[in-house]
Amino acid sequence: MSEILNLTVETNSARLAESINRANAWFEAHDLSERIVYLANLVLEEVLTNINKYAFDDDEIHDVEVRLRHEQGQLLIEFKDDGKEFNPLLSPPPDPNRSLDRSEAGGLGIHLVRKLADTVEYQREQGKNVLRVRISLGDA
Amino acid sequence: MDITLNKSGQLAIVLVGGRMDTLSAPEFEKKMQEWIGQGETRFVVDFHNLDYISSAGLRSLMVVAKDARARGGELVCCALKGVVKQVFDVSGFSALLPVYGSMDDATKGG
Repeated sequence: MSEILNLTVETNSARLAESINRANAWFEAHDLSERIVYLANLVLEEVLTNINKYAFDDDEIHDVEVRLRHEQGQLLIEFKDDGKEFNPLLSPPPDPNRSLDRSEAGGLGIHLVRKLADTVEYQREQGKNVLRVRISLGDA
Repeated sequence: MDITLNKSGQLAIVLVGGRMDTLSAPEFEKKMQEWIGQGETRFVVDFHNLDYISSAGLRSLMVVAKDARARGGELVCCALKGVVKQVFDVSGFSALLPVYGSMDDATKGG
């Protein structure tokens, strides 16, 4: 089983499920723990949903390149899209003092990724948004 | 995902199982709105069979909790486990919604 899985994900939700299924088959082959598989699923779902919502102004279907890499005690998940420049790390975290009546329904996904992954880095590289998320396998 | 309703007096006990994600959260919301439409407002959602929840699942829970509250009711959660519990904690949902360790505690407190 390869240490790297490359996926090209179209920006619509039917393809999202198919890609997550392929990723899960790869996680299983790498014998990753239930906790790591959960976190990786969350990163894939939240980041791809975020790209669908914010990266493109048109209604066309775009490709997002996703690369999963199992290396040196960590799982690296890399996303590349050619949408408009958008650094999700600049989004403000949810207000901790909100109440149920006043809280906004959105904006949580990236917050969850930042809190639960070990590192999240954003770069604009050659006209593409590149997001690299690392999950340590240490406590697996 | 699996969603089952059981009545216990005035309480609507909702057992959820499997995954509550972008694809399945609308199904959860639709079912819950149906039950609210039938007059249910006091919900205890039992998470002990739920394997996965993402922000889409949390958003649906919030929509339903607000609807129940607007009708004078409440939605409480119980039996969260593993990363599902951690997602509730880091998202702040553990402070936004009443969360109990077990069904027994939830039905006494709710």
